[in-house]
This record gives sequence, C-alpha cells and structure tokens, in this order.
Amino acid sequence: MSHASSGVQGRRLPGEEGVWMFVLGDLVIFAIFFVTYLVYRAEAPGAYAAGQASLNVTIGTLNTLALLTSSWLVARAVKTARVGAAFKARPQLVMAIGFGIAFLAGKITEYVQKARGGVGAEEAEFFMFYFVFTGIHFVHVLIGLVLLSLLAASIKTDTLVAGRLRLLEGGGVYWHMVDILWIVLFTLFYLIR
Amino acid sequence: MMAASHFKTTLVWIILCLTTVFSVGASGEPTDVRLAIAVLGAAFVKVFLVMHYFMELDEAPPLWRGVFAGWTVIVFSVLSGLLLIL
Repeated sequence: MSHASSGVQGRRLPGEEGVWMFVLGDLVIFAIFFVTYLVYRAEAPGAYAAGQASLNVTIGTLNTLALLTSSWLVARAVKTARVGAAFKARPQLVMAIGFGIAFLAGKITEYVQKARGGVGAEEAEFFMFYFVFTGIHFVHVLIGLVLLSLLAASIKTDTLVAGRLRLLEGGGVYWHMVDILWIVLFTLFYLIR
Repeated sequence: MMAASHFKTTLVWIILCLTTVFSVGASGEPTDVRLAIAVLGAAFVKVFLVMHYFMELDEAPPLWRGVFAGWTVIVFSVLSGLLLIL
C-alpha cells in the first residue's frame, strides 16, 4: 500500500478522520437542501421550469467539466506526492487551482447575466434556491482554493513527512466533496426537467 | 522514487466527463420522469466514482465505505422517490 511510503503503515483512510466527519456532515446538510428543492419544485413545476429554462446550460456544463478536471488533478497530485515526488505534484495542484478559478469565473458570469436579465416574479422561488444553494457551494469552492493554494505553497521537498501528506490528502478529500456537491446541484438545477 | 500510476484515475476522469456530456444531451429532450431519474442516476454514478477513485474510498475501511455508499444510495433513492410521487 502506497501509504507505507509516508511511514504511516496500515492507515488506509486518506487524511485525518476529522476531515471525513466534516465531509459527511456537509453531505448530509446538502442532502437536506436537495430534498427541500424537489419538494418545493413539485408545488409549482411550471414556474421552476421557466426559471430553469433561463439558466445557461453551456456555462453549467463547462463548469462541471472544470471541477471534474480539477478534482482529477488533485487526485493525481496526492498520488504523486505519496511516492516521494511532491515537486511534481505542485504544478498539478496549481492547474487544479486554475480550473477552480475558471469555475468561479463561470459562476460569476452566470450570476451577472441573471442579475442584468432580471428575475420574473414567477421564477423568484426557483432563483431563491438557485442563488442560495449555488452561493453556499461557491463559498465552499473559495475555501477549497485557499486550502489548495496553501498546500501547494507548503511543498518544499520531494518527500513529505507523514503529517504534511495527511494534510494534502485531507485537502484533496475536501476538494472532491466540493466536486460531488456540484455534480448533484448541476443535475437538479440544470438537467432535471 | 517510484512513479505514481494515474491510469485508473485518468480513466475515471474520462468516464466522468463523457457521462456529463451524455447527461446534458439526454436532458435536452422533452423529458418524462423516467428520463429524469436516469439522468439523476448518472449523476450518482459519478458521485460514486469520485468517492471511490478520487477520494480513495475503494481503499478505505469497510465502515467508511459503507457510510458513504449509504449516503449515495439513500439520497438517490429519496430524490428519485420524490420525482416519482410528487
């Protein structure tokens, strides 16, 4: 098992257990958001469809691909750092950060487009959910980008000590959770008609 | 120093991107509830893949794997159920 290279024999859960508890808690909270959205949507499907039709699916799709790619790069970076090549992991983290920033740029573009276009009274409830849930997710992305930047900047040697490697793994686990949340949000807001 | 193998991770990334594109294409059609559930199902397959191969739950202790698989199954089931009955 590759963890052995970090001197943490037998540990198989990446990162600290506390990170996983946090991730689980966040997933449960978002699950409540998802259910709430579908319950309210069922009361006014026409109004929600009208709101949904005015979303920019192209930007939403590109944003999804950007986060998936960012997540993939972080997964690669963790594996690379684990085999004692942390310097090679750093550019992967930097690219992952780049795709994360691209996601935020896409989201801001959508927000601005919507703010300029205005929201009709009929669509107000749909966009209340849209802005609140994607806004909370937006903050998650911002926090993740700060974490990834700190982790990339902290790589000073090719071989990371066990504690540093666990930090990198934990940052990766958080970033993948951000990806997971977006996969479901994108599906509910943009794709489920 | 040994080289890290990225084959599995990269394969999963390609599958995730292709599934995304197909889901967007499918959702462009006039939809019925079965198609909506299929698109939702594709999303939760993506969630499962990210959990297992990016978060590395495939190598985690069974308890943690079970908890996260449980979240995936329960949330997908509840959301599908809501789409069906509401």
